[in-house]
Amino acid sequence: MQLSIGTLSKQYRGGVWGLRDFSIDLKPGILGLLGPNGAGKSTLMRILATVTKPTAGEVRWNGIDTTKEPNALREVLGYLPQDFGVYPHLTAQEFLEYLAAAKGLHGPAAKKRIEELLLLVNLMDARQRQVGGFSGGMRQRVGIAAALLNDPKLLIVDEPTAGLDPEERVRFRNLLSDLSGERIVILSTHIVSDVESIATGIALINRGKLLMHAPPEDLLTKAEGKVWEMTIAAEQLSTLRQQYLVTAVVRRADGMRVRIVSETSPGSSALPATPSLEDIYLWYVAYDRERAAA
Amino acid sequence: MNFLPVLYHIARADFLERVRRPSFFIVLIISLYGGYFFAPSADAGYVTVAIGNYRGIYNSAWIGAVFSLMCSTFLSLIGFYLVKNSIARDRETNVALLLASTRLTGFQYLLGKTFSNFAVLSAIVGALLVTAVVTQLIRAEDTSIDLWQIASPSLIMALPMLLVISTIAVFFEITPLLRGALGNVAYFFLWNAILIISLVPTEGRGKLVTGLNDLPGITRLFESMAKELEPTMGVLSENVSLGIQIITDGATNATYVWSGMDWHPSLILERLVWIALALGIVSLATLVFRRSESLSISPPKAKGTEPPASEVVVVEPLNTHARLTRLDVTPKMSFLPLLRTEIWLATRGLNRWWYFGMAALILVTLVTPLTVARQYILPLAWIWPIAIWSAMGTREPKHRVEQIIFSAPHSLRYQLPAMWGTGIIIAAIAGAGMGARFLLAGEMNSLFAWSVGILFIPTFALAAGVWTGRALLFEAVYVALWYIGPMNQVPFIDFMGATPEVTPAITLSFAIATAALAVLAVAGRRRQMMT
Repeated sequence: MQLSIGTLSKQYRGGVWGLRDFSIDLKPGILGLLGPNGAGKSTLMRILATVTKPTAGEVRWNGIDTTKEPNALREVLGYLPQDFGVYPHLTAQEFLEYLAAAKGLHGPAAKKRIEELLLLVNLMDARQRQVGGFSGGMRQRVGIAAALLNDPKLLIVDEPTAGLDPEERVRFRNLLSDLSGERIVILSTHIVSDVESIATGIALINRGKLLMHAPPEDLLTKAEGKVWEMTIAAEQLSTLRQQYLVTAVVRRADGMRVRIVSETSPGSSALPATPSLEDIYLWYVAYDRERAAA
Repeated sequence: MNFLPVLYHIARADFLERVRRPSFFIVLIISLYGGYFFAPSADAGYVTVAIGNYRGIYNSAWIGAVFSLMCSTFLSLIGFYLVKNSIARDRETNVALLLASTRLTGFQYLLGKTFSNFAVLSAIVGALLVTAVVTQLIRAEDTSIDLWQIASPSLIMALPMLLVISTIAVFFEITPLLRGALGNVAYFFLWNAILIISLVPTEGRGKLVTGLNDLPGITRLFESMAKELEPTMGVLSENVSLGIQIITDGATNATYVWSGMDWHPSLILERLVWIALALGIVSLATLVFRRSESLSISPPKAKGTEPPASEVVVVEPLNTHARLTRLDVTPKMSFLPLLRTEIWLATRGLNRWWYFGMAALILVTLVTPLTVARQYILPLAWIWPIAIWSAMGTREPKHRVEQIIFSAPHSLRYQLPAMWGTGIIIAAIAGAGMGARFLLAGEMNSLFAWSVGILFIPTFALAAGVWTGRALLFEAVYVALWYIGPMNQVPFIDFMGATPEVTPAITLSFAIATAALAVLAVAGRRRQMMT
């Protein structure tokens, strides 16, 4: 099972590039696709889900070019778009039955699968309610159930935790972790904590380009010795920000405790700190911005 | 809040949002193209505005009047469907949420929307006036340009009509019953009634009624145009023609010089009454306007299966203990289950009165005399499910499920035909009684037309839906076709067998159109599926 993305580019009307020369090879596991808003995550997800045509490049699923033969991928695809709606007059069960039929699943097999999914997303009691009356979180659960209907080999979830409360986000994260197994899961987000504990690989994306793809532990190793913490006076903060990448600030009684990413020590009082994925993410994005500005 | 600046900004933002959309330019180009042909050359073989066998030479006065009549009649029909989406857009884009949380009053909001509608229509009128000048120069029957003569009929006659239409569009948008297909159909009849009323003769005098029945300003213009011809004319209302009239062989179309309207104060006052009426409609709309309902700010109420408050389901957190087993079957695409679910989807949300009406129409088709069933009941039976047909191809974008549906395997090969099949089944059921009657009566030409009608209607709906993503195009054009053809017993636009004179050749042309529309629908869906 392999998904290969080769020099994928997407140019929108007006000449804006949503994605540029993006290449990556994926094997079973969870890929956390991290990037700021507008980085090109959704463009990539839509191309992978075969609903957007790339301007150039290719996507191969087990060697088959999905831009030419999208159905080869669609048969094993589960896709939860970032922004999706529902048919408001259908009940949760009916909506899933409809999508099951659209994915080629019907009869007793569909019924059994839907029941199992409703149990999984805990909507069994609400299955006869019309989805038009569901909250955002409940709709998101219907969405994930819909994505899992055909037991997909490739599961694409685009910003799935947007609009969920913190507790629900943790549960959702765990659910995705359990689901990964023998499939490729691509989870796009701009929230680092959504992926840091469950991803087997991290891809950083900005301005449509892949900045880095590596296992999280490799990224953390790379950042060792580059993250610092120090306490400064409040009035020093703006000067420090101009000189260094400040990734966190905590106000304390003795001043401001700041966290800095820098190749060299930012000051005599600075102490080395254990890097986090968030530090690395911010570091790469800031570096890319500087490069673009130059 | 400062009333006028607020009003200005609501109308301005809405106007800019609309005119910057490609669809506006398409409508504008079509309007300009239509405008040019509304003043045909002498050898074109048709006229659009005539008094008996006469038409005015193309001087500024006549050209101005012709363009004004075009705006009052045709633009007022198309324009309604063009602008009736202003509040819906606020709902869809969630701008409504932002506006509803401000101190903006309902009257300000609706008046702002009215002015925006009016500005869009006025922009088209403005572009048409430029076309009018160009047309006069091209036709070259009188090349002296008088801008006031060209513009004044549109400014004084057409614009008040379009202002009223702008308010009606707003009123329809905030009235739940008139917001959808029913409103689109109802407007067609309202527009028709406005035109008919403006031409109603009274007291057998043969004179056209002037004054407060003449919203489009048709009568006033025709009255002035006919003044110089009156001694030679019969009953004016029977001799004016508006719309495309083919000049038959041997007939001639004489010309005369019309020097234009005399804009006396009473006439101006008469037009001001219509502006006052427009403001009255906005005031009335303000009374009907329910901020949270009209802007869909309240969460949607689930119908039917919503449990009573005492039984409200408590939704448990996401289940972290349940495990998903592997799917023990391989999904296999199958048409019939998908057709079943598409039929479900299409008929969900219809209330019992709809089904009752449908059943009644089928029954009445079976028991009424054949001529009545054919002429009146069949057309009614095939307008009744219009909301089902117009949802075809538009349902996915409307409910934002297109990414989920289009990423399903073989969507083009299975889901699209299932949706199309649903439309055909609905048409067949609605017209079943008539089909049986034609068969029993041995009316094979009519049966052929009926069979093609079953395919033509849903195919047209599907093609219009997938290309525009909205129900409006199909609803507006279908109602117009339905009214002009089957309802008015015009055989060459009879796509259902409502006229006894319908021939296989006519039906064949609709069959070819159906095939073309089917190709168009597939191409449109392919484009929709992969942007």
